[in-house]
Amino acid sequence: MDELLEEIFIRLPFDDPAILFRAALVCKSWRLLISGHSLRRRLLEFHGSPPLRGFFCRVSGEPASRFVPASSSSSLRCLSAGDVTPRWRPVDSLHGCVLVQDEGAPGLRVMHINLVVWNPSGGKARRLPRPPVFTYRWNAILLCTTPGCDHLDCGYGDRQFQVALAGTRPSDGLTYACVYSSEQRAWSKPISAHLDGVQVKYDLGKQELSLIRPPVPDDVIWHDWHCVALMRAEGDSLGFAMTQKFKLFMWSREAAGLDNGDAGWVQRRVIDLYEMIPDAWNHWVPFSAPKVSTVAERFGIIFIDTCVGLFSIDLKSGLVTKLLVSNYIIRDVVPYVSFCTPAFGSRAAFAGDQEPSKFLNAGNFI
Amino acid sequence: MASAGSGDEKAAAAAMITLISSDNEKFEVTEATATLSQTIRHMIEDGCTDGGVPLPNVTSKILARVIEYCKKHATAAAGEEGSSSSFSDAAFLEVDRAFLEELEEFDDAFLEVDRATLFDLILAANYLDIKGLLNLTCQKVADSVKGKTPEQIREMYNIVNDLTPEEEAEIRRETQWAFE
Repeated sequence: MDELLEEIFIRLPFDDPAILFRAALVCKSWRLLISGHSLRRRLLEFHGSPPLRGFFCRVSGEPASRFVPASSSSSLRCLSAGDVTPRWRPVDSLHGCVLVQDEGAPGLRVMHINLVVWNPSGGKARRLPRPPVFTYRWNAILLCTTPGCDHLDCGYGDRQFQVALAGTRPSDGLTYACVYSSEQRAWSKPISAHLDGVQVKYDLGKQELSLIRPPVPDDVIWHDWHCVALMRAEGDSLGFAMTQKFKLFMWSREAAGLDNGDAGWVQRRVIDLYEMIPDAWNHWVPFSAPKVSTVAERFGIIFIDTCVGLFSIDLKSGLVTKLLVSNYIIRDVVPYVSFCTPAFGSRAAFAGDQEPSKFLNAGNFI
Repeated sequence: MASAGSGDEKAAAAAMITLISSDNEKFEVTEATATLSQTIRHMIEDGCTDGGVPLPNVTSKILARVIEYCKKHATAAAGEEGSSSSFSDAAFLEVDRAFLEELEEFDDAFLEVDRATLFDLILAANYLDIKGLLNLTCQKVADSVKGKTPEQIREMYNIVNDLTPEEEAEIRRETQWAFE
């Protein structure tokens, strides 16, 4: 019978997660099924992958980062890490969890890296210890390291994750990198290298840092180019997206070229943004050309920041959507992908899909 | 239809299977109709359909409806197969669309049943492993749930609220993060 109820639940409208939440209030068995792991597996089998719910971003001049739902009909409220930290900046997201930088109390300029892995579903969070690197030019990504995980649904349960961090230290100009492991609850010993460039490859297996040279011809004027989003292109090769004036260029590099400095880049696509986003062209003033904000690889969606706001381009269909109107620069765009199924606190103890003791020990963990 | 198929298909379509409901009523159906059910398909493959297929979980009332569904969809499937070789692409698409429209109309009319029947159909579709019918009936229930409050859903399906006030409060609290 449970199986058949799940058959019904997976067919509830996909774009409105509130319906599942309401159904959880019907009775005990519904609540149990809706918050259980098995339903999420079924949702995945039925729909293929979790939907893009929206994105986090920071608009210059605004005091707080914000969440913008992907569809205006979505009942998802503006998710906010406000319970975790009053001032926060989105850094990365992985299927339901968001990596945020705690910017500290209003008015303070925070120099340290204070990362929090936050699951908006229930507002649970894990604060990471301060990394053994001091830098204010850095980037970090969230990785799932749960054994056997297919990374489609790893935002839930007692999962293992890593946070990889790389940054350049102003005092010696060296590039440092280290990894946080959720199992060890600690950062690795940092490695460093003298690298003269912006795009850095951090090989987690070999613990090696090297430079990635973007495929920009030497004769172009640097400020003409607005990169640059690294992405996974087809077949797991490395991809690059960048704009020059009103053209969007996309490149990919074959695996063979990865160990070979700047070799191996192949231009895959050039998209004319004049036609795609005429508004931005009509309001163009010098130094306000479109820039690539980020790429939601799984969905083939590229986010472009322009002088009139943020747009998304669906690379398959060519559909352009105006996401946010703003004359200010929109930074730190982090797409949020999740089924948004409820994960009630006592779920593990009820559902039996995890060891309750493990769950409780994890305390405030995701 | 069978006449459009090859010789083998003709033989398969002509073969009849007897289905026996829980209240011992016998239904003669073609193999093409019966094999929409994966459960029956496997029984045919294993050669254990002689003397009829007993279906102790399905009443004659529900089995009659299930067979009605399978007949229609088996006919549509055979029609599509047959038409692909004898029409040009455009004509094929036209035929295809007509089939789909007709099927959709049939499905809509088929679902005009009371809730008890609908649930029996879901149980039968699951037991007989008929994917299309399971999808159709479950979607119908899902559509009836959306836009309803928990109270309305309980009333509609005679569900007793066994959540304690604490549990209810917890769910409401835990879901506040997401919704207005």
